[in-house]
Amino acid sequence: MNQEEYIKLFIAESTEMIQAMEESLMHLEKEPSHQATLNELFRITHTLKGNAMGMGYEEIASIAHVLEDFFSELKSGTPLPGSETFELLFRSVDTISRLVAAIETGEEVNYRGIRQKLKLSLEKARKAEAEAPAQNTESTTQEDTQSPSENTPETMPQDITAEEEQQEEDNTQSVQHAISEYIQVPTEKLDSLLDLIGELIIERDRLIARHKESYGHSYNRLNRISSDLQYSVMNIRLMQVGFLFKKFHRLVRDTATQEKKEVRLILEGTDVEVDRNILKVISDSLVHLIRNAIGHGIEGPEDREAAGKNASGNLRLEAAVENQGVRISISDDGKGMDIEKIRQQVIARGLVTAEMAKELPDQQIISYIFEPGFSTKEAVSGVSGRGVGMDVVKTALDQVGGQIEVDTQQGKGTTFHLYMPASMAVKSVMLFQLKQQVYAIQLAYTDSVTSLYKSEVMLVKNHLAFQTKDQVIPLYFLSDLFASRQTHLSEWNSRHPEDEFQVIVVQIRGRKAGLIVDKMLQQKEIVEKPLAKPVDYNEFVNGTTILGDGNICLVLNIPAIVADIMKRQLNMLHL
Amino acid sequence: MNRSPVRVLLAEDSGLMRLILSDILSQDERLELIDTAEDGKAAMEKVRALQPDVVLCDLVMPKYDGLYLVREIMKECPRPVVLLSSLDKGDPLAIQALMAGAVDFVGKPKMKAVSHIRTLQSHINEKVYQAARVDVSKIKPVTAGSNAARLLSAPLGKNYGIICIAASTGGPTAVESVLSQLPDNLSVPVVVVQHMPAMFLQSFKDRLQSQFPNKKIAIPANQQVLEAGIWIAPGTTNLSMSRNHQSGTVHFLYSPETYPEYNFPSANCLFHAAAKVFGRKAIGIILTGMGADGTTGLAHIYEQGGYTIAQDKDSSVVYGMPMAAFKAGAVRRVLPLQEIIPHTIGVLQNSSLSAMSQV
Repeated sequence: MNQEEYIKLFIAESTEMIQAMEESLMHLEKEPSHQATLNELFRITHTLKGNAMGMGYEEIASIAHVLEDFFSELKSGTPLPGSETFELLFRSVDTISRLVAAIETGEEVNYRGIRQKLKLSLEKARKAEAEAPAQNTESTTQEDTQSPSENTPETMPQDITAEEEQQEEDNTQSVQHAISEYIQVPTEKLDSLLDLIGELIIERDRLIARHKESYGHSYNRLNRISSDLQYSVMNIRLMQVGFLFKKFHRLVRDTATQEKKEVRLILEGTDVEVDRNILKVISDSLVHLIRNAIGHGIEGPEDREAAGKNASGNLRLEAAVENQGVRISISDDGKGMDIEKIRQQVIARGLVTAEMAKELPDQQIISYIFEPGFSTKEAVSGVSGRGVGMDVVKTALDQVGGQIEVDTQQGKGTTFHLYMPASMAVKSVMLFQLKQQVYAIQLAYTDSVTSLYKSEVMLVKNHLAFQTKDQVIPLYFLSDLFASRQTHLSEWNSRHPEDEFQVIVVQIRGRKAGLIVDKMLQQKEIVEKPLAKPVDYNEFVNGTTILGDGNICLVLNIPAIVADIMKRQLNMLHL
Repeated sequence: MNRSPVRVLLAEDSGLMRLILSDILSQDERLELIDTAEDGKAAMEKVRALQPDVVLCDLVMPKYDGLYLVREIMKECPRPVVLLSSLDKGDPLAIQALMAGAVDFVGKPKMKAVSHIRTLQSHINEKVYQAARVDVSKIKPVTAGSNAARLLSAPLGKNYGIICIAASTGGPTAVESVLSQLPDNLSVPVVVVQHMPAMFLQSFKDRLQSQFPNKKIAIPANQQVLEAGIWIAPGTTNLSMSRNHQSGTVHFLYSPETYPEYNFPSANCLFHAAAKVFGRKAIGIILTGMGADGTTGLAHIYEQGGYTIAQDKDSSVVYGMPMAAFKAGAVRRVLPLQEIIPHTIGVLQNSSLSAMSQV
């Protein structure tokens, strides 16, 4: 049973019925008592009512019901109550048509006014008929008055309120005849189109994988066309960031006025295009970062002049295409962050020990501002402000598979770099193998891929790490992380010193970790599907994709895995 | 229990409803939807070709409607037909189709905006499944000639004050057949409980009135005085009675009290009231129907010394309610449909006959 299929079918059938009703009504207007036309109208409204009830569209059902009664009455010989009735009937059909359209658009349609008018008109017709000299109602009249249905008459339509009248008028005016060169399409439609293409690509890859030897080349065209199709649809969903950026002029003005500061907003790269859904997800983050920059970054005019700066601060919002993705940067020329204060708060909150905090590079200390509950207002600027944490920004970027970097220089300003994919639909991943199963890690999170000899790996307090030219990177067997256990030293010890380890170095917000896997496979573009219930509880797995050979590949949730690693490190320090 | 599934043909003009109903039917492994048709004529052709066990049919369809289909099926190759209906006055055809031999009706699937159609499936499927077990050869569509007016030749005794009749599935034709045998000048009131939605009962009454123009047929109002005539219990309430002890007249009472077996109208409600008000002067008759409504009420009449009759198995379209009453020991006489009224008249005319049967 497919709800969506029902809805599609309902809309399609209703649209046909609406057209048929209009045609029949026009016919009826010429021949008001044409029985076949009345039968037809009765049948259509009856079916429409039944379908609408079946679907739970009670508004449509209620109008169709009154229309059905109306035509049932006319069918039985009751004359039409005046020619203005046609106007009413046509408008009822219009209202149904709008209600049907509203199923997809979600638009609100006022229908009560027209329904009331219709009821009144029907009641009038019935009364006129009842008062007319009785012909076929001889003997049963007396009993009819005794029957229970007559004792409990349907609630008589009362006066139509002025409001309903007005609503009805509004509806009439909003019927548009001009046809635009642009089509407004609900994004869901594009989403479903993209989903379909995703499935098409998977199927294509499966076909090609199966028949690679025999006729690999004959799939070239299929390959190209489906790729073009995929990118065309992805393209439709792209939006210029300028649409969003331009709205920030007002935000900047209002926030600056409130904070008694002078701020100039500079926009760059407004024609860069990003998937609409991604833009939607990160727009709140941008608002938050802009407010922060004005509230905590940019100084008041006097302070600025005292520091030898221009009294009015600059806030630069810049978008650029980078590494198959998009970077949006927000920079202010304010006072920058006080890294020492952040360091102290990191220690005070017990996120790392004092000794360790001293060792940590500035970049990594700054990354703690994205921890939940880490208040930026004191640590960053000391200026009281909104207490919303930066973790909101982090969450938004994790959601779209993006990254954030902070670049700050005391006295000179702060820049937030937001890196995100241009499109959410297709993700570039690194495929690798672990215990016969294929996994994927988004390229956005992979820092590097390397292979290490056992001798290159250090064993410190039961933990593995390796040295690059500028830092020490903790190293984990990915299978240990999956099993939620400490590094399995027996496995480590059993390895020959000449053994090579395949390592993927992942990084997120400046934190790096090496993951030991069995075998590197390849880079690939995949269409990720969310995990289906009941297996959606695994926090380390973000989604799945189907590979060309038909096997399922799990896409790892690197932010969650790195968070887990950080927790382990902390536990280790506290031991 | 390893029966092969009931083969169902669906006649419905709306593609949406066809889809929804197909989905509903496919939920029940006892049922197999073998084909669908878009109007009565196409459906008839498929009935001929596929010989379905049950036909589930919409009433309002373009050109050849459900009534056409029911009539053709009953004429050519009788089999159970279940009507799909919106169960309101928009379906004047429903009662005609029931009279033409359709065994049952079921409401079209309805959904509140949030709920799921799945919740309705069992109801529709159950009716279709039950219909397959109905022996349609026992359905005798009432024809115009069968209700020649008759008058009582001999005077009635004073032993009985009311005749109560209850019927459910297969009832409309049985009730019409029974009523057709009643003398036009019968002085004992007849009250009929036919399980049906209110709107249908209104049409049912209209239909009976047009079939029997010389009889007085009505749906009683609340508090209306019970007098001679045929009274059809309304479908909006249960129907009870009470006697005014000063005037001695009996009034109908709308009763909100509900019964476990069936409600609005409940046969038990009517029978219990008759037993209470008329005691041994009540006659209770149970006709064809699914379920067990009427059993406790009929037993009450029996205990009070009233006269009780149940339709026999061979003539019952569904031998459910009569069987329940019989097994409960509430039935004095079991009779074929056609003999019920002649026997009742005999009971009314000859108290000694009834006295003899009591032995």
